[in-house]
Amino acid sequence: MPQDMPPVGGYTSVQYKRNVPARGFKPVYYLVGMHMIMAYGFYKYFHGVREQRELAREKIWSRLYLTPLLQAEEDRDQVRRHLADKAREKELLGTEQKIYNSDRFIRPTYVYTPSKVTQ
Amino acid sequence: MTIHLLNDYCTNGFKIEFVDMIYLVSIFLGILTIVNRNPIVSVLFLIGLFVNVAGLLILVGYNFIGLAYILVYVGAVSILFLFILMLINIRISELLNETNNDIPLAVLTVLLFFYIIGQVLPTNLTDNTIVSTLSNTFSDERNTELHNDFFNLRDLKQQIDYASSHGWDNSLIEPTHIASIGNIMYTSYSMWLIVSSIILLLGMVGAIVITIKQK
Amino acid sequence: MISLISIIEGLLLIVPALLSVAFVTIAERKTMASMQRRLGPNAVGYYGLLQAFADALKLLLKEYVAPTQANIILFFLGPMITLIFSLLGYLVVPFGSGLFVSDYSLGMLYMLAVSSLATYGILLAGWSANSKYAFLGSLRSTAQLISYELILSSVIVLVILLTGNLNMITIIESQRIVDFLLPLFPLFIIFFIGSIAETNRAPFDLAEAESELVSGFMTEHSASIFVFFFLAEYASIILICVLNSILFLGGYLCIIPVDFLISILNTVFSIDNSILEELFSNVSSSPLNLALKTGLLIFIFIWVRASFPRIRFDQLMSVCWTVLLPLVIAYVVLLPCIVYGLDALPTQILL
Repeated sequence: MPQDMPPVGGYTSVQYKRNVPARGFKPVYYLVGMHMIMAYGFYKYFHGVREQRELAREKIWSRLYLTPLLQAEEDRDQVRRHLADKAREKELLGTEQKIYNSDRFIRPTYVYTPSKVTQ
Repeated sequence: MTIHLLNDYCTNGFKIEFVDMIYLVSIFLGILTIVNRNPIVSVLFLIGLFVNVAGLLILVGYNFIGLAYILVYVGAVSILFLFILMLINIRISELLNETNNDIPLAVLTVLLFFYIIGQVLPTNLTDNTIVSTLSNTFSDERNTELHNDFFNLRDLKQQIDYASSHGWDNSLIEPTHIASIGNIMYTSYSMWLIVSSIILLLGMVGAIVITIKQK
Repeated sequence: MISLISIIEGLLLIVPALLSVAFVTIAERKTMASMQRRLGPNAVGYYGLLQAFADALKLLLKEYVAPTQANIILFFLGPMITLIFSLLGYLVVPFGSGLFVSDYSLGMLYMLAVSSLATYGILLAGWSANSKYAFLGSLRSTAQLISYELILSSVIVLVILLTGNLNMITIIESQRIVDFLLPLFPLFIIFFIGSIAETNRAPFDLAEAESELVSGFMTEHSASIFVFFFLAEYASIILICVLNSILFLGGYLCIIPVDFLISILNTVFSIDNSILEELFSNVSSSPLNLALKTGLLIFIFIWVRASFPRIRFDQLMSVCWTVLLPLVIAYVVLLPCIVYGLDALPTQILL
């Protein structure tokens, strides 16, 4: 029994390629157009970053000017606590005693129990 | 109220018990990785271990490292691992290998490790994890009990507050971890960055050289 | 009442996300039907609006079939992992100005990490089914996801270059002057192609190539676990469209060029409306903007599916590794040079 073989000389080629006329612009124009869009975008972005920096500078300077005030508040509170602590110590011990061997300032941390806890 | 507190712990707060739990789960997953006979299931437990460790890192505050861990180890390396293991034809005889007889050795090694490490590592007030307590009771060296009024204050937990003088000039900006790492890595330690990138390049070229076909 | 907030927050995010998934499936079927001159689903509810729920109910009520030789635990775990990790990404999405669940400083990195974990579900589901079709489908799908993730993350690196921050809200807010669509136009196209491939959608749906592999990695999955896969697929489509619009189209920022209109008003009426402008630009950044942008992108997803024939797997991979990746790498080299040359690196002061 003869097998199913391709015809002598092979099959005829199938025309799968469509011959439609080219549409639209040349590819180069698309490339150029895309980069024009990018260039415009970067132009806008450049100005955006400048503005962003200006805003950041403003914010940082406002904080810099605010810092001494906040630090003074902090120091005032610290001094108040320190004096109160000294007074308590004197009341309890009678004399003022140093617990450290050096004269170096050691930043104290006071533990206290707040009456109202808001959590 | 409990739900709300739980949420607070998970997102903002840090509870030492969570860390303990993750340690225990990690050890469990590590043992399962070794013990399992099917290599794919074993790799799955390894992935679980990676995720666990990433969770630990995120919990203790190393957000970036933890996420990078998930991204690199779990998301990339382990997937390739699993991918290759699935493609390999595993014979039944290999699956029947007895691996359980290594467990006593593993347990012994871990105990020895903790015995030594527990003695060497410094302990402090906040260090009241299960592991360190256990190793301290075994070593009996640093197990000094602190009975003091001050330390009993710890039981009050939420009720105490601290007042320390605070330098406001430190809180002008708050850089994230990744920004701090970047700032250091691209300025002071740029040399090491370049060296490590060259090593990576070398690895890449090496892989290409190995797989290239000689004509 | 305050104790329930953490639960309500989650529900407020998850339930609309799942609802939107349901309606996206309907939208897809109706849109594709009208593109192919059919009617599409029109029986359940008005215009077939409730078709998704009918389908889901049908699938949930069906008997599930698991292969006898399958690894049952992984067989059920796979779809769950896929669904959970595709929903976890919603956590860091800012929907409007001040409308978010988590303002995470590493939001973008989190999203990348979570989306890379979703691959495991597919890999496990395919492997555990003990079927060659499912296994081949899952391997294909995983290879595709890993390859295209590379492109997505490289493009994201370039967006990060222009924002200087990984926080999603910062990424959106730094597009107030110009959407990144303009300076990163080619990268948006690459990212969009990459996101179609990343979600396993036509024309890149090689994972479930019906003509060769029966239904890809979910061949053996049926009934309710199939619903999981289905939901996960559409949830990740919506998520990646949201990500596209956050990275390139300005997220929740107003579609109408408000400052342009107000400057015209100013020149016509010659009054200083800067306060009005500020007010309006804040009010106008509502979630509706994000919804419109995302809806447009999802429509393009469906449009692409209806228009393009499926490509071969080797073509898919070669287009990733030899066309898209070199292009992206070229831009990774070029854009930092441009940004540095313009001295336009974003501010690194973290406020």
